Amino acid sequence: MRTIRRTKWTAALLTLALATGCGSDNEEAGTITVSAYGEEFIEEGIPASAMDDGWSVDFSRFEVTIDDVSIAGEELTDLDPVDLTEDSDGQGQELGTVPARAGTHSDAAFVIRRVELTGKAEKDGETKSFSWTFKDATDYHACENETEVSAGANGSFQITVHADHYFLDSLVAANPKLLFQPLADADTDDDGEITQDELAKADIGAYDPGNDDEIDNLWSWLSALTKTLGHVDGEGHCHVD
Amino acid sequence: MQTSSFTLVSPCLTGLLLLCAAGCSDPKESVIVELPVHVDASALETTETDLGYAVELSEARIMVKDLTFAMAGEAHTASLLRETYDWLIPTSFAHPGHFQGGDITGELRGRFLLDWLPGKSQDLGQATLLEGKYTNANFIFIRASDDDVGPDDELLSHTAILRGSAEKGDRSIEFLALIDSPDDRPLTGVPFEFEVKASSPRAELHLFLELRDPLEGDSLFDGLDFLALDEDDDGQVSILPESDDATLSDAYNLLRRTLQTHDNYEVRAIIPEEGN
Repeated sequence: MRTIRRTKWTAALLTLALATGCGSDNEEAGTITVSAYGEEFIEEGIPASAMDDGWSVDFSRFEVTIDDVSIAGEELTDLDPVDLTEDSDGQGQELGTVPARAGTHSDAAFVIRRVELTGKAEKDGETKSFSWTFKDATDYHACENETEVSAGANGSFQITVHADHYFLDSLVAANPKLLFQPLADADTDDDGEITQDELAKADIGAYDPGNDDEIDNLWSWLSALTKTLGHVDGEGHCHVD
Repeated sequence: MQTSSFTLVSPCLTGLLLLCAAGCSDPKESVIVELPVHVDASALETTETDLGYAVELSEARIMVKDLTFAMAGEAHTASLLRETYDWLIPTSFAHPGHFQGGDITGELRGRFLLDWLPGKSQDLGQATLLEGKYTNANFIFIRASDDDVGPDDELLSHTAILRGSAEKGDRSIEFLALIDSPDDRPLTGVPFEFEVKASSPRAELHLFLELRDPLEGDSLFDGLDFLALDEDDDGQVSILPESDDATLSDAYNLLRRTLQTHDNYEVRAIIPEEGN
């Protein structure tokens, strides 16, 4: 797969080039570095204290394939998947850098094409493992970002992935709970692994899918939640297709 | 029954009109229309479910708050008014469920105990709407408090009560269902197709509970096997929150999910006949 990735050195070179000799707008040009970040919940895990039913969750892999990032009139495409469990010191995984006029840039867009997560959940000595892949792409657009770029400087735009959304008990509630127990209960052969097949056979129970009456099993439930993962700059939202 | 109500109509209306006078190039685009809202039980009829039960309701009460009305896409107003409306009547963004369904440009705020029986029209109050083509309505499920119902009312601390009978063959089951929605659980996208014009005949907005989805044909009580739920065979079934019985718990979850979808509600604008 062809990859277009620009490193920090490239960002610096772009900034230098734009600042010294590239056209009449040199003095009002900078760059934007785009990154993807899973926050502490992916890099360090979700502690039991953050869940409403006492389960803790750790991810050994949380790989996202992000594509078609659009910001400041520029695009990043054909990006390699990134594993958000890698320690990033709070900076996230860099996806690339684009040139940008000085000023404020909003309405960013991106696509999450694929999510692969592997991990385990634990409670009271019980462990359940999982390895799930979600292949349906989600298009995020008209995002609530306000990316500031100063002349000759680098701004930053972060695609933030909220892994805890896989454990929400509602697609519509203002304050949903975080639960793992209904997923644990889907391990009907009790072998310690929650499989896609088991989830596809499990009813959604007390989960609230809102107006979507097509969601009638836990796999379609988790697939619907996959579409809610993407945010910008922490808590910023986007329109989703 | 309107248990207690408050609206932002007066200060909002005044503010909107003042700002329009200051900044709107065409005052006609900023007309606000007030329309009465009624609960209408005329759509409640005996309904056959997918499992062959003929279900008839004798009681249907749901506790909600804050009815809002929305147009698809951008509101048909001057930009200044649009920005003003957003400030005065902010759009809520639930997390993770964002409001979907257009721009809110009408409202009837307050707590309302919607009572669809015994078949009379129940007056909720006056909704305030901007002119334009509306496509949907919304409200928020809440729990009935002691300000809303009496201390002996079965609905106290719950969201909805449905009572009725389910008949199949020569068997009949009397059922009671109490539903608890999560705090401030929004319901979005209730069908509401109407163009609000100040120059139009005065319409009334009627809120219907429909036991059968007119588009998809599904019934509110689909999937509920009342005879199977009657484990003690006494002809009575109670579908309640937090049941210890797995079968009844499944039935409760299914009924709650169905009741909380927009498929079972509709707002229609009805023009009263002259003389009525």
